[in-house]
Amino acid sequence: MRTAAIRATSLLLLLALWETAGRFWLDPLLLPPPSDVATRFRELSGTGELWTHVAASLGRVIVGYAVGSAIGIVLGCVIGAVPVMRDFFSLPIRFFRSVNPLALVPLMILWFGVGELSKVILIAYLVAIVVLYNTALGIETIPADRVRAGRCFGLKGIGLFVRVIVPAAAPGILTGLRLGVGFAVLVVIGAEMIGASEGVGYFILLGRQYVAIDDIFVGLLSLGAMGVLLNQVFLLVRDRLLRRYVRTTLYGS
Amino acid sequence: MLRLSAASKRFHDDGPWVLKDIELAIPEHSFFCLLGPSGCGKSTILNMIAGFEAANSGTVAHRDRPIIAPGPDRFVIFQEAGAALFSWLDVRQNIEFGMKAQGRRRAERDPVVDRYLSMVGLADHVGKFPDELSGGMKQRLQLARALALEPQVLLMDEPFGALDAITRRRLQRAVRDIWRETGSTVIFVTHDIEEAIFLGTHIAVMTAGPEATIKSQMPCRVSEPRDPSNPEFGSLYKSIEELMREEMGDE
Amino acid sequence: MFPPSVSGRVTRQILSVVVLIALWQLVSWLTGDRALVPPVQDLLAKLLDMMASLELPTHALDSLRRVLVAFAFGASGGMILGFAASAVRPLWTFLEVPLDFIRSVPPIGFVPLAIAWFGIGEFSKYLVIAYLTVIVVAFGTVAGVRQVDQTRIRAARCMGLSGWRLFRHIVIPSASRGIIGSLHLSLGLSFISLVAVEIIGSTSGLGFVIMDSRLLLQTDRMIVSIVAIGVLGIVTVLVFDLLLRLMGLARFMR
Ligand SMILES: Nc1ncnc2c1ncn2[C@@H]1O[C@H](COP(=O)(O)OP(=O)(O)OP(=O)(O)O)[C@@H](O)[C@H]1O
Ligand SMILES: [Mg+2]
Repeated sequence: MRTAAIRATSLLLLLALWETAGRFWLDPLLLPPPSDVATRFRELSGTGELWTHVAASLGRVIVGYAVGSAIGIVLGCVIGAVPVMRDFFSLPIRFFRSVNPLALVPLMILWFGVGELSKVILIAYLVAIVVLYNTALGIETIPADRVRAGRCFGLKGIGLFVRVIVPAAAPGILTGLRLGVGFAVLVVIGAEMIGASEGVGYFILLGRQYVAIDDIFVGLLSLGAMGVLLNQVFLLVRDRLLRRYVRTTLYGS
Repeated sequence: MLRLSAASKRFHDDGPWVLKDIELAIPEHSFFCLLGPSGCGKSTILNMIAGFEAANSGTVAHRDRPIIAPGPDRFVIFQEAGAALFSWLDVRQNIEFGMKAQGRRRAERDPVVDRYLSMVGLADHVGKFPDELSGGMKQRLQLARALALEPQVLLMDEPFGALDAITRRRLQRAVRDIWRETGSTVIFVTHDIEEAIFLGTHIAVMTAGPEATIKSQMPCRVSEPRDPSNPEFGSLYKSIEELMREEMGDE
Repeated sequence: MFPPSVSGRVTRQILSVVVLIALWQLVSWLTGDRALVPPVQDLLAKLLDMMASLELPTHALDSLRRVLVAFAFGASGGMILGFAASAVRPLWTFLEVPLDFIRSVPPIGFVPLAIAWFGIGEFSKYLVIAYLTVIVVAFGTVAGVRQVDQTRIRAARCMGLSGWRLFRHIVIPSASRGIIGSLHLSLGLSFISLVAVEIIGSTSGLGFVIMDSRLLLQTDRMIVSIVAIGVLGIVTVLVFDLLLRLMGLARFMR
């Protein structure tokens, strides 16, 4: 309760400070005060311009993320469950994981053009790598007795896999999926700054070209809101629908 | 009858023999306690009976059929219940799991689940998840989950090792009552001599590894009450302790 | 049934590299465009080329300098902020929400703002790379301090420690695990921010080379630089961990 009060006051104070700084001390063109940013936000959302960009970014993220996580989960399961595959893929995965995600943006655009394809492939690829890695890790770290218990029930092969191994690896899969959200947002903005004609990243870069700092602020705030929103949706799904899969029963009660 | 004949086991092609020529005959409906120094291979024997590990030579057979894979006729109660239970299923679903996997219908499952729920005293906790149970409750859930499949053989690997003395004693009683009621065969690994005498109808003592074998095998026919106040209990305890001491050496 | 032998494992790992390279060569051959998907021999030739002309080392050093300078300032700032905020609780309550929001914006978003405010010089680059480190390390420090066991503090009190000595001998070592974890994480993140600042508005560094190759359609040069920045990142983090170990801080790492 007290914490909430301090937080609310802190935000108000921060806004007030920013407002006075922008209005009286610094050039409002360089540091547009919150009221200006709010006005600009209303203008941009009124004409629908902002929403076009937000929708473009979100659409790319969602499509790329869906494709990437599906591929990542399937491949991760296969790699995690088959020891031979695990050995085989350990070096390639380590290599691909260490490639800097933003460095791939220009390459993907060079290969697949400035259209939607390059962005979706890029997001899907990055999400797939991180989901795949964490899924395989999740399977590898299942306690041996849990799998053995499943076999005591007479399960083997696909049945054992679906009923025991995948649910037991769920914490790892979910970790990968969560990290994937961050990568997807990061790289979509990068791709939109380098080669796109819409999207939040494009909008922010446009703001810089016209030295419209209030636009940059609107863009950054939408970007932050987008990140928070996606993360919250993820947590909501995890903690409401998938709560049973993130319980830990190892070590103590 | 569950029989191991000349069963030997090693984990690497040119490694040392962990178990050498194990001879064991475990009668139906017996409560068979396996005692032995740490690291001698008790868990390994249990894993061979469960079908998790194969013997390198010799045979392991249940009712004259060689054991080649795990199956619901032999169920293991693992020592670390937290690892063995399915954390994403609640108490009821954990018990139901095996019957569901066998494709049995709900009407058929429900009475069985209810029966074993109350047998292990978890009827008031059906909706809880394993992480919301105490150590003793987890172990009882494991027991109920196994019993629901009505296995002919229950394999227990030091199931109460991590529990406090009172819970432990309570669960020992529960296991004994359940064994009497269900008539299944129990193979129970422990290093606690008192526990073995309290529970067993048969007791086997192993030699220290490597190349461990069965040192001695005896029936346990101590009259009730099976506690240290009973002189029969005391004399059996002494003779087993003597056997164990020979194997432990100076330790 | 027997565990796969170690030699088989190494064989499979080597095999995977061979297969990967073969696949690459196949794709290169199938596309029929050496410029678009250069085969491995072209990439190696380009690598030697770029080493001989000193292009690669020069730009790599520029990139490394940016990361190291920004990380040094960011990490110190983050720790100071974290300890200060732990000592003065309301300060953290004040900062937590805005910092958390800023953290949720990908660093590349701030590049245009930093350029607009501070120009395309080195300062704006340092700033974009460092700010995330400040936040991540501050969060790590606060979490580390918060996790210090109360029993341990009481035990130390019983031994007569208080004030600065309590902080120096009990709080800092106990919080070290959280701090070191956040340092490790933010060093990795710094390389992502580095590429962000270098592909947008920079005239040096590996990120610049990548962008420059795109304009000139030099895929080989681009791929060599992409791999180079990956290697630079791994090696830097490895060296950092090694340094911590040499400084006797290994016991605070997991
Ligand atoms: N997977 C394995 N690989 C290699 N050696 C193993 C493996 N499992 C067990 N061993 C070895 O086999 C021997 C017997 O182990 P086991 O776990 O059966 O002993 P135990 O009698 O159950 O001991 P404890 O009473 O401590 O549980 C030990 O020497 C152990 O090192
Ligand atoms: Mg054992």
